[in-house]
Amino acid sequence: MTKLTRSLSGVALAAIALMAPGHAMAQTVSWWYEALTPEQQKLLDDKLVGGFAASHPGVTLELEYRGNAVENQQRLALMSGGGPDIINSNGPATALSTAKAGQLLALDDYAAKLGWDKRLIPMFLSLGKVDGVLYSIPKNYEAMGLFYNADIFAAKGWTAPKTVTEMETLADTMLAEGMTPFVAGNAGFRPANEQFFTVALNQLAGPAAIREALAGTRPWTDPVFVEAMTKFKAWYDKGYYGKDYFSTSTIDAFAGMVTGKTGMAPQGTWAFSWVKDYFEPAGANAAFTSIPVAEGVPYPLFPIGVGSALSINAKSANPDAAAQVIDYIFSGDFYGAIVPQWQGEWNVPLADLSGITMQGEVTPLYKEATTMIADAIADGSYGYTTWTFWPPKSEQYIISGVEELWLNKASPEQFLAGLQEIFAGELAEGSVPPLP
Amino acid sequence: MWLFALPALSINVVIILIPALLTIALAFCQWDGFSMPVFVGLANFNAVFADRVFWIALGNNIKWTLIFLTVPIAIGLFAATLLLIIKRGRTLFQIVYFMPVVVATAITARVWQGMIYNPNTGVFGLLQRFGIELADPLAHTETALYGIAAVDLWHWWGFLAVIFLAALRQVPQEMVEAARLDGAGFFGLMRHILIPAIAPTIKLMMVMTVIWSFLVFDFVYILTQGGPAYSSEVLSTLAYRNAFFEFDLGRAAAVALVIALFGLTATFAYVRLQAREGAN
Repeated sequence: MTKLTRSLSGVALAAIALMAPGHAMAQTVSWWYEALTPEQQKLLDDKLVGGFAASHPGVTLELEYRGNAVENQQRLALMSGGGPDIINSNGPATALSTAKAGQLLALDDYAAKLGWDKRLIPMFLSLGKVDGVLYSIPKNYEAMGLFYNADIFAAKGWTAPKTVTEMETLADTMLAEGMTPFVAGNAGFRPANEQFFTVALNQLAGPAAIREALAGTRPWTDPVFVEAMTKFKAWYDKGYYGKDYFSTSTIDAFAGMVTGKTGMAPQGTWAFSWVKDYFEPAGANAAFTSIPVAEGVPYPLFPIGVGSALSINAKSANPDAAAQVIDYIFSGDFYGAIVPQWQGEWNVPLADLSGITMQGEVTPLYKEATTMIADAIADGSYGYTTWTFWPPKSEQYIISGVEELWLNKASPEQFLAGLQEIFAGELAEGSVPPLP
Repeated sequence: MWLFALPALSINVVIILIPALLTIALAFCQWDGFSMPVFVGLANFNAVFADRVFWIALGNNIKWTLIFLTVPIAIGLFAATLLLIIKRGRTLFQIVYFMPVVVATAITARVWQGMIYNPNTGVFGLLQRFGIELADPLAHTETALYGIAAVDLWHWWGFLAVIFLAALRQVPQEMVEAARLDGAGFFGLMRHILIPAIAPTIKLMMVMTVIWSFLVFDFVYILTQGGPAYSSEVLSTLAYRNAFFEFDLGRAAAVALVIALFGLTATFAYVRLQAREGAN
C-alpha cells in the first residue's frame, strides 16, 4: 500500500466514522462577551468554558471578548442576519426590542424540556416574556440594599436604620461628625444617578405606586412621586450625597466607608466585590440589609434589577447546543464553581440554593444577603430598578433629570412632568418592559 | 485613467458615500436599530427642533467653536512666532509643544479629571488644602463646558503652533529682515508681515476648527458625558445618546445631519474664499 493510498483510506475511514449513526458532529456555540480583566477572562475560561466542555463533550463554547461596545456590535450583526448563537443583552428592555424584531428564538420549549421553569425563580422568568412567549432569561439579578461598616456602627452605637426617619436622623448625626452620609458619586459613570433615584423612589413612594405608574395606571406626576422627589432633592441639598458628588466615583466613596469618611451605601449587590476589594484587606467588617422605608412602605425592601439577560439567536445554526450552554449556567455545578470566585456578578436566579456545593469560600455576609433577598422576593417584598423596568428614553431622561432636579434647573413637578411625557410615549409604542 | 482612480474611488464610495446616503435616508425614518425602518417624513427634525436639549447642545457647540477659533489660534500663532525668532532650542520646544497632541485622548482626559481637577486626588484638591479655593469645573453647570475646553485646548494648541511655524518658515527672510530694518517690533512684524503672509494657512485652520468643533465628542464624553444637567451636552453626544442608549437612530441621524450642515457651510465658505483669492 502506497503512502497516498494509506492516506486516502484513512480519510475514507474517518468520513465513514463521522457518518455512522449515533455520532454527532462537534458543535460550536458562540457568545460575545463584554470587556473583562485578564483575571476575569481566565476565570470564565476555566469555570465556564472548561466546566461546560468537561460535562458536554461534543459541544464547544467559544467566548469572544469584544470590548465595552459589544451590545452595539451584536445589534448590527443581528440586523445583518449574523451574530453569535447566544445573545447576551443588557436586560429585559433590550431583549424586548430584539424579540419584537424577530431576532430571538422562543425559549418556552427549552424551559419546559430542560426544567428552567422549575429551577429558576418564576418572577425572573416572567420578565423575559413578550406577549406570553419566553425570549430571554436573566443571567444574573441584582438587588439594591444598604451596606455599612459594622465596626464603625458598633463603635458609635448606631444601628442600621429601618425607616426613613431613622435614616435621616442617622444621616444628620453623620453630617455633624464630618462624615458624608451616603456613599455616592457619578464621576466617570453618570448612570450612577439612576441608582440613587431608584433607591429614593422605592423607599419613599413604595413599590405599589411605582408598579401602577409602570403599568400606566398612575401618572408620574402623582403627588406621591412629587413628595418623594421633593425629599430626594432635600437630601442632596443637605449634603447626604456629598459636596463633591460630581467629582467622586462611587467606588472611591465606597472605599471611604472603610475609614469612616462615608457613612452608608445604598448600593446594588455588585458592591459585594468592592467589599472584597476594600474591607477584607483592611480587616474591616461590612454589613448589608434592606434599604430603610417610609411609613406605609413594606420592609424589608430590595429594588430588583437585571443587568444581563440570555437569549438564543433566531438564526443560530446550533440552537440546541446554545440551550445546553444556558442550561449549564443555571446549574448548581456552575453556580458552586463561579460564585466563590466572583461574588455579586453571577447571581443566577436559581430558586433553590440549598443543594449546591460551593467549590470555595463564600463569605457569611454574602450568604446571608442572598438568603435575605431570595426570601424577600418570595414574599413579594421587592422594588423596581430603572435600568430594568423603565423603557430606554425614560431611563436616559432620569439620568440627566436627576442632575437638573438637584442643581435647581427643574422643580420636582417639572422633572416628573418631563418623565410622564416621555414615559407615556414609550408606553403607547409598547417599549415598557414586562412587569413581574 | 479611471482605473487609476478606482481604488480610492471605491473606498470613498463604500466608506463615505454609502454611509452618508444611508444617514440622510435614516433621518427621515423611525428606526430602533432592531426592526425595519419606517418612513416618517420630517418627524425626526420636528422632534429634534422641539427638544430643548438640542438647543442647549447647539449653543454649546457654538460656544466651543468661538473658543477654538480664538484662544488656541492666538496661542499657536504667538508661540510659532516666538519659535521663528529664537535661534536655539527650536526643535526641543516644538517637541514639547507637540507632545500633548500625540497623547491618547482618554489618557489626557483621565489625567486632567483625576490628577488636576479632582478635589480629593488632584492638584485642585491640594491647593484647597493650602486655602486656595478652586472648585472642580467639571462638577458645576456654569463651568463644565469650559473645563472640558481647557483640557482640549491644552492638547490642541501645540498642533497649531507647529503648523503655523511650518508656514512661517516659508515666509521669505528678506521680507522679515526688511521689516526689521524699517523698525518693526515683534507685534508690528506679526501684524504687517507674518500674519498676512500665512493668512491662507490660518484660514484653512479656522475652517477646519469650525468643522472639528461641531464634531467634538471624545473629551466631552469621557469627562462629563454631557453633564451635569446637560450643561456640557454637544450635538455629537446628543446624537450618540439618541442612537445607542435611546435606540432612536432616526433622530440621531437628524442631529448628525445638522452637524454635517455646519461642516459643509464652513467648507463651502472656504472654497468660495479660495476661488476668490485665486481669481485675484
